[in-house]
Amino acid sequence: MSALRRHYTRIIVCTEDTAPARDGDVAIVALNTIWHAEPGAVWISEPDGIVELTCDHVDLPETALRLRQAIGLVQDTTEAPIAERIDPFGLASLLDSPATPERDAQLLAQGQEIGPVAFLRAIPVARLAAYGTGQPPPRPRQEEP
Amino acid sequence: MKPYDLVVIGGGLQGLSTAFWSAREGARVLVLERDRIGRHASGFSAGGVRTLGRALPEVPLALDALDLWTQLDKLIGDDCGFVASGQVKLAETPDDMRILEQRVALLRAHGFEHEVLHDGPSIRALVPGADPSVAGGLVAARDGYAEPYRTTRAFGRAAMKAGADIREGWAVVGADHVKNLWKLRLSDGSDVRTRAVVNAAGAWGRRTARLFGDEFPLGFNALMMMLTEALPPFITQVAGATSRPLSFKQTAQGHVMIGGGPKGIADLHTGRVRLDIARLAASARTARDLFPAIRHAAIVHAWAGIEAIMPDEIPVIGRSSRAPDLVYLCGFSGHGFELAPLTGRIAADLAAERDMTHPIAAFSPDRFAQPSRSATHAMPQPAG
Ligand SMILES: Cc1cc2nc3c(=O)[nH]c(=O)nc-3n(C[C@H](O)[C@H](O)[C@H](O)COP(=O)(O)OP(=O)(O)OC[C@H]3O[C@@H](n4cnc5c(N)ncnc54)[C@H](O)[C@@H]3O)c2cc1C
Repeated sequence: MSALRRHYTRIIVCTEDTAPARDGDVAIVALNTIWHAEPGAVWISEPDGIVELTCDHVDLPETALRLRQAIGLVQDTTEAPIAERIDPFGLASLLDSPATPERDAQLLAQGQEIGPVAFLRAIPVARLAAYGTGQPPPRPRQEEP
Repeated sequence: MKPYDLVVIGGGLQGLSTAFWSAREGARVLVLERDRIGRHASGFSAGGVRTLGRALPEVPLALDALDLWTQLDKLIGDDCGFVASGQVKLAETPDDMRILEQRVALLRAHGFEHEVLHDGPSIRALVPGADPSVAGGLVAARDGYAEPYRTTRAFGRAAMKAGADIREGWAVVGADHVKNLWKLRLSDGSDVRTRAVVNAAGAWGRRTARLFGDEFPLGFNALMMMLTEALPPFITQVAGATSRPLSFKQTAQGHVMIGGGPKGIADLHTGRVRLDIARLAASARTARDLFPAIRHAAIVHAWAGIEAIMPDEIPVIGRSSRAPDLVYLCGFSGHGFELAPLTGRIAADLAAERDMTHPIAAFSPDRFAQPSRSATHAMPQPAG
Protein backbone atom coordinates (compact mmCIF):
# COMPACT_ATOMS: atom_id res chain seq x y z
CA MET A 1 0.00 0.00 0.00
CA SER A 2 1.27 3.50 -0.79
CA ALA A 3 2.03 6.02 1.96
CA LEU A 4 -1.01 8.15 2.84
CA ARG A 5 1.03 11.30 3.25
CA ARG A 6 3.97 12.59 1.20
CA HIS A 7 5.95 15.78 1.20
CA TYR A 8 7.13 17.77 -1.85
CA THR A 9 9.04 21.02 -2.10
CA ARG A 10 6.68 22.19 -4.79
CA ILE A 11 3.25 21.19 -6.06
CA ILE A 12 2.11 22.45 -9.46
CA VAL A 13 -1.64 22.42 -10.01
CA CYS A 14 -2.85 22.30 -13.63
CA THR A 15 -6.36 22.98 -14.86
CA GLU A 16 -6.04 20.60 -17.82
CA ASP A 17 -6.72 16.92 -17.29
CA THR A 18 -3.02 16.48 -16.58
CA ALA A 19 -1.44 13.13 -15.93
CA PRO A 20 -0.08 13.24 -12.40
CA ALA A 21 3.71 13.37 -12.35
CA ARG A 22 6.23 13.24 -9.56
CA ASP A 23 9.78 14.24 -10.15
CA GLY A 24 11.88 14.17 -7.03
CA ASP A 25 10.75 17.16 -5.04
CA VAL A 26 8.03 18.33 -7.45
CA ALA A 27 4.52 16.94 -7.92
CA ILE A 28 2.18 17.90 -10.75
CA VAL A 29 -1.48 17.38 -9.91
CA ALA A 30 -4.67 18.01 -11.86
CA LEU A 31 -7.14 20.48 -10.36
CA ASN A 32 -9.98 18.00 -10.80
CA THR A 33 -8.28 15.44 -8.54
CA ILE A 34 -8.10 17.77 -5.52
CA TRP A 35 -10.65 17.12 -2.77
CA HIS A 36 -9.40 19.60 -0.28
CA ALA A 37 -6.61 22.09 0.21
CA GLU A 38 -5.11 24.02 3.12
CA PRO A 39 -2.02 26.15 3.43
CA GLY A 40 0.79 23.64 2.86
CA ALA A 41 -1.35 20.62 1.96
CA VAL A 42 -3.67 19.15 -0.67
CA TRP A 43 -5.72 15.95 -0.54
CA ILE A 44 -5.89 14.25 -3.93
CA SER A 45 -7.40 11.13 -5.49
CA GLU A 46 -5.16 8.28 -6.43
CA PRO A 47 -6.26 4.88 -7.70
CA ASP A 48 -5.94 3.35 -4.22
CA GLY A 49 -7.69 6.18 -2.36
CA ILE A 50 -7.07 9.62 -0.92
CA VAL A 51 -3.50 10.81 -0.42
CA GLU A 52 -2.38 13.90 1.43
CA LEU A 53 0.48 15.79 -0.21
CA THR A 54 2.21 18.41 1.88
CA CYS A 55 4.46 21.01 0.33
CA ASP A 56 6.50 24.16 0.84
CA HIS A 57 5.13 25.97 -2.28
CA VAL A 58 2.09 25.58 -4.51
CA ASP A 59 1.81 26.97 -8.03
CA LEU A 60 -1.75 27.21 -9.21
CA PRO A 61 -3.89 28.96 -11.78
CA GLU A 62 -5.14 32.50 -11.02
CA THR A 63 -8.65 31.40 -11.96
CA ALA A 64 -8.91 28.65 -9.34
CA LEU A 65 -10.24 31.09 -6.76
CA ARG A 66 -11.56 28.70 -4.12
CA LEU A 67 -8.37 26.69 -4.28
CA ARG A 68 -6.27 29.84 -4.02
CA GLN A 69 -8.25 30.85 -1.00
CA ALA A 70 -7.98 27.41 0.58
CA ILE A 71 -4.22 27.46 0.11
CA GLY A 72 -4.15 30.88 1.73
CA LEU A 73 -3.40 32.96 -1.36
CA VAL A 74 -6.51 35.14 -1.17
CA GLN A 75 -5.46 37.19 1.81
CA ASP A 76 -8.17 39.80 2.00
CA THR A 77 -11.72 40.30 0.88
CA THR A 78 -10.84 42.18 -2.31
CA GLU A 79 -11.40 39.07 -4.42
CA ALA A 80 -14.53 37.94 -2.63
CA PRO A 81 -17.78 39.75 -1.90
CA ILE A 82 -18.40 40.49 1.78
CA ALA A 83 -21.25 38.42 3.11
CA GLU A 84 -23.10 37.84 6.31
CA ARG A 85 -21.65 34.75 7.94
CA ILE A 86 -23.89 31.69 7.67
CA ASP A 87 -24.28 28.83 10.10
CA PRO A 88 -22.72 25.41 9.39
CA PHE A 89 -26.35 24.40 8.71
CA GLY A 90 -26.83 27.15 6.11
CA LEU A 91 -23.49 26.45 4.49
CA ALA A 92 -24.54 22.89 3.74
CA SER A 93 -27.56 24.12 1.79
CA LEU A 94 -25.34 26.54 -0.12
CA LEU A 95 -22.94 23.74 -0.99
CA ASP A 96 -25.67 21.61 -2.52
CA SER A 97 -27.29 24.40 -4.48
CA PRO A 98 -26.46 24.40 -8.24
CA ALA A 99 -22.93 25.61 -9.02
CA THR A 100 -23.49 29.07 -10.49
CA PRO A 101 -20.99 31.96 -10.49
CA GLU A 102 -23.11 33.62 -7.74
CA ARG A 103 -23.02 30.52 -5.58
CA ASP A 104 -19.27 30.20 -6.04
CA ALA A 105 -18.82 33.87 -5.13
CA GLN A 106 -20.86 33.28 -1.98
CA LEU A 107 -18.78 30.23 -1.10
CA LEU A 108 -15.66 32.28 -1.55
CA ALA A 109 -17.04 34.94 0.77
CA GLN A 110 -17.96 32.35 3.38
CA GLY A 111 -14.49 30.86 3.05
CA GLN A 112 -13.11 34.24 4.13
CA GLU A 113 -15.30 34.00 7.21
CA ILE A 114 -14.92 30.42 8.31
CA GLY A 115 -11.37 29.70 7.20
CA PRO A 116 -10.05 27.54 4.41
CA VAL A 117 -11.62 24.31 5.48
CA ALA A 118 -14.60 23.84 3.15
CA PHE A 119 -13.99 20.90 0.82
CA LEU A 120 -13.48 21.81 -2.80
CA ARG A 121 -15.36 18.72 -3.93
CA ALA A 122 -17.64 16.34 -2.05
CA ILE A 123 -15.75 13.30 -0.73
CA PRO A 124 -17.63 9.99 -0.59
CA VAL A 125 -17.83 8.72 3.01
CA ALA A 126 -16.52 5.33 1.85
CA ARG A 127 -13.43 6.93 0.30
CA LEU A 128 -12.62 8.98 3.36
CA ALA A 129 -13.28 6.00 5.63
CA ALA A 130 -10.74 4.00 3.61
CA TYR A 131 -7.97 6.41 4.64
CA GLY A 132 -6.15 4.40 7.33
CA THR A 133 -7.70 1.89 9.71
CA GLY A 134 -8.77 1.66 13.33
CA GLN A 135 -9.03 4.49 15.80
CA PRO A 136 -5.99 6.77 15.93
CA PRO A 137 -5.12 7.87 19.46
CA PRO A 138 -6.84 11.14 20.40
CA ARG A 139 -4.66 14.13 19.59
CA PRO A 140 -3.42 15.57 22.88
CA ARG A 141 -4.82 18.96 23.81
CA GLN A 142 -2.60 21.84 22.73
CA GLU A 143 -1.16 24.17 25.33
CA GLU A 144 0.72 27.44 25.30
CA PRO A 145 3.99 27.58 27.24
CA MET B 1 -16.08 58.87 31.65
CA LYS B 2 -18.17 57.05 34.21
CA PRO B 3 -16.78 53.52 34.85
CA TYR B 4 -18.75 50.50 33.70
CA ASP B 5 -20.26 48.12 36.23
CA LEU B 6 -19.00 45.21 34.16
CA VAL B 7 -16.67 44.65 31.22
CA VAL B 8 -16.93 41.24 29.58
CA ILE B 9 -13.84 40.10 27.66
CA GLY B 10 -14.95 37.96 24.71
CA GLY B 11 -18.00 38.09 22.48
CA GLY B 12 -18.67 34.36 22.26
CA LEU B 13 -21.88 32.84 23.57
CA GLN B 14 -20.60 32.75 27.16
CA GLY B 15 -19.66 36.43 27.17
CA LEU B 16 -22.84 37.55 25.44
CA SER B 17 -25.04 35.53 27.77
CA THR B 18 -23.24 37.16 30.73
CA ALA B 19 -23.79 40.60 29.19
CA PHE B 20 -27.48 39.84 28.63
CA TRP B 21 -28.13 38.73 32.23
CA SER B 22 -26.10 41.61 33.71
CA ALA B 23 -27.71 44.30 31.59
CA ARG B 24 -31.13 42.85 32.39
CA GLU B 25 -30.37 43.41 36.07
CA GLY B 26 -29.65 47.06 35.26
CA ALA B 27 -25.83 46.98 35.17
CA ARG B 28 -23.85 49.19 32.77
CA VAL B 29 -22.14 46.57 30.65
CA LEU B 30 -19.52 46.62 27.89
CA VAL B 31 -18.48 43.57 25.83
CA LEU B 32 -15.06 43.77 24.20
CA GLU B 33 -14.56 41.30 21.35
CA ARG B 34 -11.18 41.18 19.69
CA ASP B 35 -12.55 39.81 16.44
CA ARG B 36 -16.25 39.58 15.63
CA ILE B 37 -18.98 38.08 17.80
CA GLY B 38 -19.39 34.36 17.22
CA ARG B 39 -16.16 34.22 15.21
CA HIS B 40 -14.71 31.39 17.29
CA ALA B 41 -16.06 28.29 19.08
CA SER B 42 -19.57 29.69 19.53
CA GLY B 43 -20.17 30.22 15.82
CA PHE B 44 -18.58 26.89 14.80
CA SER B 45 -20.23 24.62 17.33
CA ALA B 46 -22.28 21.59 16.31
CA GLY B 47 -25.16 23.09 18.27
CA GLY B 48 -25.76 20.04 20.45
CA VAL B 49 -27.93 20.82 23.50
CA ARG B 50 -26.96 17.85 25.63
CA THR B 51 -27.40 16.89 29.26
CA LEU B 52 -26.54 13.26 28.40
CA GLY B 53 -23.21 11.91 29.66
CA ARG B 54 -22.21 15.09 31.50
CA ALA B 55 -19.52 15.22 34.13
CA LEU B 56 -21.26 14.97 37.52
CA PRO B 57 -20.56 18.56 38.68
CA GLU B 58 -22.08 19.82 35.42
CA VAL B 59 -25.30 17.84 35.68
CA PRO B 60 -27.33 20.29 37.83
CA LEU B 61 -26.19 23.18 35.62
CA ALA B 62 -26.90 21.31 32.38
CA LEU B 63 -30.43 20.40 33.55
CA ASP B 64 -31.28 23.97 34.53
CA ALA B 65 -29.71 25.29 31.32
CA LEU B 66 -31.95 22.92 29.36
CA ASP B 67 -35.02 24.48 30.99
CA LEU B 68 -33.79 27.87 29.74
CA TRP B 69 -33.35 26.51 26.20
CA THR B 70 -37.07 25.76 26.10
CA GLN B 71 -37.86 29.37 27.10
CA LEU B 72 -35.40 31.27 24.87
CA ASP B 73 -38.12 32.72 22.71
CA LYS B 74 -39.62 34.48 25.72
CA LEU B 75 -36.27 35.28 27.27
CA ILE B 76 -34.30 36.68 24.31
CA GLY B 77 -36.89 36.91 21.54
CA ASP B 78 -35.56 34.01 19.43
CA ASP B 79 -35.95 30.25 19.94
CA CYS B 80 -32.51 29.86 18.31
CA GLY B 81 -33.78 26.92 16.25
CA PHE B 82 -33.86 24.68 19.35
CA VAL B 83 -35.35 21.26 18.55
CA ALA B 84 -35.96 18.89 21.49
CA SER B 85 -35.05 15.86 19.40
CA GLY B 86 -33.60 13.80 22.26
CA GLN B 87 -30.00 12.61 22.51
CA VAL B 88 -28.95 8.97 22.47
CA LYS B 89 -25.69 7.25 23.39
CA LEU B 90 -25.51 3.93 21.55
CA ALA B 91 -23.84 0.80 22.94
CA GLU B 92 -22.01 -1.18 20.27
CA THR B 93 -21.07 -4.15 22.49
CA PRO B 94 -22.11 -5.83 25.77
CA ASP B 95 -19.10 -4.07 27.38
CA ASP B 96 -20.53 -0.74 26.26
CA MET B 97 -23.87 -1.73 27.80
CA ARG B 98 -22.16 -2.38 31.12
CA ILE B 99 -20.60 1.11 30.99
CA LEU B 100 -24.05 2.61 30.39
CA GLU B 101 -25.59 0.59 33.23
CA GLN B 102 -22.89 1.86 35.60
CA ARG B 103 -23.52 5.39 34.43
CA VAL B 104 -27.24 5.14 35.17
CA ALA B 105 -26.52 3.65 38.61
CA LEU B 106 -24.14 6.55 39.39
CA LEU B 107 -26.73 9.14 38.34
CA ARG B 108 -29.51 7.48 40.33
CA ALA B 109 -27.24 7.44 43.39
CA HIS B 110 -27.03 11.23 43.04
CA GLY B 111 -30.77 11.61 42.50
CA PHE B 112 -30.73 12.25 38.71
CA GLU B 113 -33.31 10.49 36.53
CA HIS B 114 -32.86 12.16 33.15
CA GLU B 115 -30.82 9.41 31.45
CA VAL B 116 -32.80 6.27 30.68
CA LEU B 117 -31.32 2.90 29.66
CA HIS B 118 -32.83 1.04 26.70
CA ASP B 119 -32.05 -2.53 25.64
CA GLY B 120 -31.28 -3.54 22.02
CA PRO B 121 -34.86 -4.02 20.71
CA SER B 122 -36.05 -0.87 22.45
CA ILE B 123 -33.22 1.31 21.11
CA ARG B 124 -33.63 -0.10 17.60
CA ALA B 125 -37.32 0.78 17.71
CA LEU B 126 -36.47 4.30 18.89
CA VAL B 127 -33.58 4.84 16.44
CA PRO B 128 -34.48 2.71 13.42
CA GLY B 129 -31.63 4.25 11.39
CA ALA B 130 -29.00 2.73 13.69
CA ASP B 131 -27.16 -0.42 12.66
CA PRO B 132 -29.17 -3.53 13.68
CA SER B 133 -26.15 -4.74 15.71
CA VAL B 134 -26.48 -2.02 18.39
CA ALA B 135 -26.72 -3.57 21.85
CA GLY B 136 -28.73 -0.80 23.52
CA GLY B 137 -28.41 2.82 24.49
CA LEU B 138 -28.89 5.64 26.93
CA VAL B 139 -31.47 8.32 26.16
CA ALA B 140 -32.01 11.86 27.40
CA ALA B 141 -35.36 12.59 25.82
CA ARG B 142 -35.50 16.37 26.45
CA ASP B 143 -32.08 17.10 24.89
CA GLY B 144 -31.71 18.30 21.31
CA TYR B 145 -29.87 20.82 19.18
CA ALA B 146 -30.00 24.45 18.07
CA GLU B 147 -28.32 26.75 15.53
CA PRO B 148 -25.00 27.96 16.93
CA TYR B 149 -24.34 31.23 15.11
CA ARG B 150 -28.00 32.26 15.28
CA THR B 151 -27.96 31.62 19.05
CA THR B 152 -24.80 33.67 19.54
CA ARG B 153 -26.21 36.57 17.53
CA ALA B 154 -29.54 36.35 19.35
CA PHE B 155 -27.87 36.65 22.77
CA GLY B 156 -25.85 39.59 21.41
CA ARG B 157 -29.02 41.35 20.23
CA ALA B 158 -30.81 40.66 23.51
CA ALA B 159 -27.84 42.01 25.48
CA MET B 160 -27.87 45.22 23.41
CA LYS B 161 -31.63 45.53 23.80
CA ALA B 162 -31.15 45.26 27.56
CA GLY B 163 -28.66 48.14 27.32
CA ALA B 164 -25.23 46.48 26.92
CA ASP B 165 -22.61 47.97 24.62
CA ILE B 166 -20.80 45.57 22.30
CA ARG B 167 -17.57 46.58 20.59
CA GLU B 168 -16.07 44.34 17.92
CA GLY B 169 -12.42 44.59 16.90
CA TRP B 170 -11.26 45.61 20.40
CA ALA B 171 -8.81 43.37 22.26
CA VAL B 172 -7.96 43.70 25.91
CA VAL B 173 -4.15 43.74 26.15
CA GLY B 174 -3.47 44.77 29.74
CA ALA B 175 -5.07 45.34 33.14
CA ASP B 176 -4.31 47.37 36.27
CA HIS B 177 -6.23 47.61 39.50
CA VAL B 178 -6.48 51.28 40.45
CA LYS B 179 -8.59 52.65 43.32
CA ASN B 180 -10.99 49.69 43.46
CA LEU B 181 -11.53 49.82 39.72
CA TRP B 182 -10.07 47.79 36.88
CA LYS B 183 -8.38 49.82 34.16
CA LEU B 184 -8.28 47.68 31.04
CA ARG B 185 -5.83 48.61 28.30
CA LEU B 186 -7.12 48.08 24.78
CA SER B 187 -5.36 47.23 21.53
CA ASP B 188 -5.80 50.76 20.13
CA GLY B 189 -3.97 52.31 23.09
CA SER B 190 -7.12 53.54 24.85
CA ASP B 191 -8.45 52.19 28.15
CA VAL B 192 -11.75 51.60 29.92
CA ARG B 193 -12.53 51.57 33.63
CA THR B 194 -14.89 49.13 35.25
CA ARG B 195 -15.92 47.90 38.65
CA ALA B 196 -15.93 44.20 37.64
CA VAL B 197 -14.54 42.04 34.83
CA VAL B 198 -15.68 38.70 33.40
CA ASN B 199 -13.03 36.84 31.44
CA ALA B 200 -14.99 34.93 28.78
CA ALA B 201 -12.15 34.73 26.27
CA GLY B 202 -12.69 31.03 25.39
CA ALA B 203 -9.52 29.32 24.19
CA TRP B 204 -7.64 32.55 24.92
CA GLY B 205 -8.80 32.50 28.55
CA ARG B 206 -5.37 31.62 29.91
CA ARG B 207 -3.66 34.43 28.01
CA THR B 208 -6.24 36.84 29.31
CA ALA B 209 -5.94 35.47 32.87
CA ARG B 210 -2.22 36.18 32.76
CA LEU B 211 -2.97 39.86 32.10
CA PHE B 212 -4.46 39.87 35.61
CA GLY B 213 -1.67 37.78 37.16
CA ASP B 214 -3.75 34.57 37.35
CA GLU B 215 -2.68 31.18 36.03
CA PHE B 216 -4.51 27.91 35.28
CA PRO B 217 -3.78 25.06 32.86
CA LEU B 218 -6.25 25.96 30.11
CA GLY B 219 -5.35 24.27 26.82
CA PHE B 220 -7.07 24.29 23.44
CA ASN B 221 -8.23 22.05 20.59
CA ALA B 222 -9.31 22.41 16.99
CA LEU B 223 -12.44 20.31 17.13
CA MET B 224 -13.39 19.05 13.64
CA MET B 225 -16.83 18.47 12.14
CA MET B 226 -18.12 17.14 8.81
CA LEU B 227 -21.38 17.56 6.91
CA THR B 228 -22.80 15.19 4.32
CA GLU B 229 -24.94 16.11 1.37
CA ALA B 230 -28.72 16.08 2.04
CA LEU B 231 -30.11 12.58 2.52
CA PRO B 232 -33.66 11.29 2.99
CA PRO B 233 -34.62 11.49 6.70
CA PHE B 234 -33.45 8.49 8.73
CA ILE B 235 -32.80 9.75 12.28
CA THR B 236 -34.42 12.39 14.47
CA GLN B 237 -32.22 12.23 17.60
CA VAL B 238 -28.64 13.40 18.12
CA ALA B 239 -26.63 10.20 18.54
CA GLY B 240 -23.28 9.36 20.06
CA ALA B 241 -21.34 6.18 20.75
CA THR B 242 -20.10 4.82 24.08
CA SER B 243 -16.46 3.96 23.50
CA ARG B 244 -15.72 5.83 20.29
CA PRO B 245 -16.04 9.59 19.92
CA LEU B 246 -19.14 10.48 17.91
CA SER B 247 -21.81 13.13 17.67
CA PHE B 248 -24.23 12.52 14.80
CA LYS B 249 -27.38 14.32 13.76
CA GLN B 250 -29.50 14.92 10.67
CA THR B 251 -30.73 18.45 10.13
CA ALA B 252 -34.22 19.32 8.91
CA GLN B 253 -32.77 19.80 5.40
CA GLY B 254 -31.35 16.25 5.46
CA HIS B 255 -27.65 17.01 5.96
CA VAL B 256 -25.85 14.83 8.47
CA MET B 257 -23.44 16.53 10.85
CA ILE B 258 -20.68 14.26 12.13
CA GLY B 259 -18.20 15.14 14.84
CA GLY B 260 -17.86 14.62 18.53
CA GLY B 261 -14.18 14.49 19.15
CA PRO B 262 -11.68 14.32 16.27
CA LYS B 263 -9.20 17.16 16.48
CA GLY B 264 -7.17 19.06 13.92
CA ILE B 265 -4.47 21.59 14.71
CA ALA B 266 -5.15 25.10 15.99
CA ASP B 267 -2.99 28.19 15.89
CA LEU B 268 -3.97 30.58 18.70
CA HIS B 269 -1.91 33.42 17.22
CA THR B 270 -3.70 33.49 13.87
CA GLY B 271 -6.98 31.90 14.97
CA ARG B 272 -6.58 29.47 12.05
CA VAL B 273 -7.05 25.69 12.03
CA ARG B 274 -5.85 22.72 9.98
CA LEU B 275 -7.80 19.54 9.42
CA ASP B 276 -6.34 16.13 10.27
CA ILE B 277 -7.39 13.70 7.55
CA ALA B 278 -6.53 10.53 9.52
CA ARG B 279 -8.75 11.51 12.42
CA LEU B 280 -11.58 12.71 10.16
CA ALA B 281 -11.37 9.34 8.41
CA ALA B 282 -11.70 7.52 11.75
CA SER B 283 -14.76 9.63 12.49
CA ALA B 284 -16.23 8.70 9.09
CA ARG B 285 -15.65 5.00 9.93
CA THR B 286 -17.45 5.27 13.28
CA ALA B 287 -20.42 7.03 11.65
CA ARG B 288 -20.54 4.52 8.80
CA ASP B 289 -20.44 1.54 11.19
CA LEU B 290 -23.34 2.85 13.26
CA PHE B 291 -25.50 4.36 10.50
CA PRO B 292 -25.73 2.37 7.27
CA ALA B 293 -27.67 5.22 5.56
CA ILE B 294 -24.52 7.27 5.13
CA ARG B 295 -22.37 4.57 3.53
CA HIS B 296 -23.02 5.86 0.03
CA ALA B 297 -23.23 9.54 0.94
CA ALA B 298 -20.64 12.22 0.25
CA ILE B 299 -19.16 14.75 2.63
CA VAL B 300 -19.59 18.27 1.32
CA HIS B 301 -17.93 20.27 4.04
CA ALA B 302 -15.57 19.93 6.96
CA TRP B 303 -14.57 22.59 9.43
CA ALA B 304 -12.94 23.06 12.78
CA GLY B 305 -13.27 25.60 15.56
CA ILE B 306 -10.88 26.49 18.34
CA GLU B 307 -12.24 25.57 21.73
CA ALA B 308 -10.70 25.72 25.18
CA ILE B 309 -10.16 22.62 27.26
CA MET B 310 -9.10 22.07 30.85
CA PRO B 311 -7.25 18.90 31.92
CA ASP B 312 -10.44 17.64 33.64
CA GLU B 313 -12.64 18.78 30.71
CA ILE B 314 -14.93 20.91 32.84
CA PRO B 315 -14.94 24.72 32.60
CA VAL B 316 -13.56 27.45 34.82
CA ILE B 317 -16.37 29.31 36.59
CA GLY B 318 -15.63 31.39 39.64
CA ARG B 319 -13.98 34.44 41.15
CA SER B 320 -10.26 34.98 41.06
CA SER B 321 -8.73 34.31 44.48
CA ARG B 322 -6.70 37.50 43.97
CA ALA B 323 -9.64 39.81 43.29
CA PRO B 324 -13.35 39.14 43.93
CA ASP B 325 -14.35 41.58 41.18
CA LEU B 326 -12.60 39.44 38.56
CA VAL B 327 -14.71 36.48 37.38
CA TYR B 328 -13.67 33.60 35.14
CA LEU B 329 -16.09 32.03 32.68
CA CYS B 330 -13.86 30.18 30.23
CA GLY B 331 -12.40 26.75 29.53
CA PHE B 332 -15.66 25.46 28.02
CA SER B 333 -14.92 22.59 25.68
CA GLY B 334 -17.16 20.50 23.42
CA HIS B 335 -20.25 20.99 25.53
CA GLY B 336 -20.20 24.69 26.48
CA PHE B 337 -22.91 25.70 24.02
CA GLU B 338 -25.61 23.94 26.03
CA LEU B 339 -24.55 25.51 29.34
CA ALA B 340 -24.30 29.11 28.13
CA PRO B 341 -27.85 30.37 28.83
CA LEU B 342 -27.32 29.49 32.51
CA THR B 343 -23.58 29.99 33.01
CA GLY B 344 -23.89 33.58 31.74
CA ARG B 345 -26.39 34.21 34.52
CA ILE B 346 -24.06 32.62 37.08
CA ALA B 347 -21.17 34.85 35.94
CA ALA B 348 -23.41 37.92 36.05
CA ASP B 349 -24.41 36.99 39.63
CA LEU B 350 -20.77 36.47 40.64
CA ALA B 351 -19.75 39.82 39.17
CA ALA B 352 -22.56 41.62 40.98
CA GLU B 353 -21.86 39.71 44.21
CA ARG B 354 -25.37 38.27 44.29
CA ASP B 355 -26.05 34.96 46.09
CA MET B 356 -24.99 31.85 44.20
CA THR B 357 -27.87 29.72 42.94
CA HIS B 358 -25.78 26.72 41.83
CA PRO B 359 -22.90 24.64 43.23
CA ILE B 360 -19.79 25.84 41.38
CA ALA B 361 -16.89 24.86 43.68
CA ALA B 362 -15.80 22.10 41.25
CA PHE B 363 -15.16 24.74 38.57
CA SER B 364 -12.90 26.93 40.68
CA PRO B 365 -10.08 28.70 38.78
CA ASP B 366 -7.71 27.52 41.53
CA ARG B 367 -8.59 23.86 41.46
CA PHE B 368 -5.31 22.81 39.85
CA ALA B 369 -3.31 24.70 42.40
CA GLN B 370 -4.63 22.26 45.01
CA PRO B 371 -2.48 19.18 45.60
CA SER B 372 -4.78 16.22 44.79
CA ARG B 373 -7.58 16.33 42.38
CA SER B 374 -10.03 13.52 41.76
CA ALA B 375 -11.56 12.74 38.39
CA THR B 376 -14.86 14.51 37.82
CA HIS B 377 -16.56 12.60 35.09
CA ALA B 378 -17.80 9.17 34.49
CA MET B 379 -17.95 9.13 30.70
CA PRO B 380 -15.89 10.51 27.83
CA GLN B 381 -17.49 13.84 26.88
CA PRO B 382 -18.09 14.19 23.15
CA ALA B 383 -18.91 17.57 21.62
CA GLY B 384 -22.60 17.77 20.88
C1 LIG C 1 -16.50 22.29 16.16
C2 LIG C 1 -17.10 22.48 17.51
C3 LIG C 1 -18.28 21.80 17.84
C4 LIG C 1 -18.86 21.99 19.10
N1 LIG C 1 -20.06 21.38 19.37
C5 LIG C 1 -20.70 21.64 20.54
C6 LIG C 1 -21.97 21.08 20.79
O1 LIG C 1 -22.52 20.39 19.94
N2 LIG C 1 -22.57 21.35 21.97
C7 LIG C 1 -21.97 22.12 22.93
O2 LIG C 1 -22.56 22.30 24.00
N3 LIG C 1 -20.78 22.69 22.70
C8 LIG C 1 -20.12 22.46 21.52
N4 LIG C 1 -18.89 23.02 21.28
C9 LIG C 1 -18.28 23.84 22.33
C10 LIG C 1 -18.83 25.23 22.35
O3 LIG C 1 -18.85 25.77 21.05
C11 LIG C 1 -17.96 26.08 23.27
O4 LIG C 1 -17.82 25.47 24.53
C12 LIG C 1 -18.57 27.46 23.48
O5 LIG C 1 -18.98 28.04 22.26
C13 LIG C 1 -17.54 28.36 24.15
O6 LIG C 1 -18.01 29.68 24.14
P1 LIG C 1 -17.08 30.85 24.60
O7 LIG C 1 -17.89 32.09 24.55
O8 LIG C 1 -16.42 30.47 25.89
O9 LIG C 1 -15.87 30.87 23.54
P2 LIG C 1 -15.73 31.59 22.11
O10 LIG C 1 -16.95 31.46 21.30
O11 LIG C 1 -14.46 31.09 21.52
O12 LIG C 1 -15.59 33.12 22.49
C14 LIG C 1 -14.44 33.67 23.08
C15 LIG C 1 -14.20 35.01 22.41
O13 LIG C 1 -13.19 35.75 23.13
C16 LIG C 1 -12.52 36.57 22.21
N5 LIG C 1 -11.27 37.03 22.81
C17 LIG C 1 -10.18 36.28 23.12
N6 LIG C 1 -9.22 37.05 23.68
C18 LIG C 1 -9.71 38.32 23.73
C19 LIG C 1 -9.18 39.56 24.20
N7 LIG C 1 -7.95 39.65 24.74
N8 LIG C 1 -9.95 40.68 24.08
C20 LIG C 1 -11.20 40.61 23.54
N9 LIG C 1 -11.74 39.45 23.08
C21 LIG C 1 -11.01 38.31 23.17
C22 LIG C 1 -12.34 35.65 21.01
O14 LIG C 1 -12.09 36.38 19.82
C23 LIG C 1 -13.66 34.88 21.00
O15 LIG C 1 -14.59 35.43 20.08
C24 LIG C 1 -18.25 22.85 20.05
C25 LIG C 1 -17.06 23.51 19.73
C26 LIG C 1 -16.50 23.34 18.48
C27 LIG C 1 -15.24 24.08 18.15
